[in-house]
Amino acid sequence: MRQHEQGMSEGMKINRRFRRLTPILISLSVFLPIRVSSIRGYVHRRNLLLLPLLFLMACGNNAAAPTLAPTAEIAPSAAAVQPTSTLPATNTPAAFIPTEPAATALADPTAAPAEIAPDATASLPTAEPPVAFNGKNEDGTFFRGRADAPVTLIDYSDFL
Amino acid sequence: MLGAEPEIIDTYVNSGQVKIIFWHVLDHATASLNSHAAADCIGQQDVDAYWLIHDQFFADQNELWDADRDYFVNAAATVGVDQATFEQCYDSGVGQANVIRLDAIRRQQGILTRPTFDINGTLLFGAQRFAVFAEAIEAALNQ
Repeated sequence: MRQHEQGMSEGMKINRRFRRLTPILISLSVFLPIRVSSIRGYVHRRNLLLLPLLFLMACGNNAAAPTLAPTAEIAPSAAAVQPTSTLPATNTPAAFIPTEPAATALADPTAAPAEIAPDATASLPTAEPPVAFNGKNEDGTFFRGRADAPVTLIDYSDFL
Repeated sequence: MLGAEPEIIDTYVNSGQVKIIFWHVLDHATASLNSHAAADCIGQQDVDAYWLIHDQFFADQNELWDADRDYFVNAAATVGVDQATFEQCYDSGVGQANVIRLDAIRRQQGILTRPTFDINGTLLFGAQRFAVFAEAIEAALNQ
């Protein structure tokens, strides 16, 4: 049991030693298979039982390393998501912020007619004021035609 | 003035050279007073309706001798003015007062012949052909 514990403790020490190195070693094994075999030989000399354990640990580390690394990467992304999840509550004003440029964009078309209006009013002074056609004089009589006609024809008549 | 008036309107009024003023002359007592008062009440609502009823009264002048209140109310309706407003004007005597005042002014000016036409100070007495009006109008335009 002690030997086993010692062996396990040594294995754990090796495991701890190689835990950080195993992803690198495995990645290197693709390109440097000779060194990996020598490492395996070194491990085999120390403890044959350690090899599968190392393999499992390496797999565990490899598996954990990518998972941890993504979780470490997800954590910021999750943190980035959390603000977005809180956006509806806290960023309702921020939700209006994009609409404000849209509102200003909508205000521009309204500003365009406002700019056209002075043009229309600018053309008004050039137009002559309308002259009354048919109307009533101050003395109570009625006239037919333009009020500013050069000739006035007064008709003193009875209907009968 | 009914005979030559349409031609004067086509030639001079519509071109803006002449404006025609109708001056109420009351030479036939109540018949004249009521018809002119009705025209004045219509004109107080709508000046265009006034000239419509002016032309209609001249065209139907034989009916005016025996025309009563209902006749003028119906006449006002035909030219599109508000009936209640017309009745209020006609029944209150406002229209009659206006035409009586104008007729008095006419008498004070010495206009005693009917009809009389004043074209920029040139007077024509009695009904005239269009050529007579045209000559007087052209003379006034050339002054």
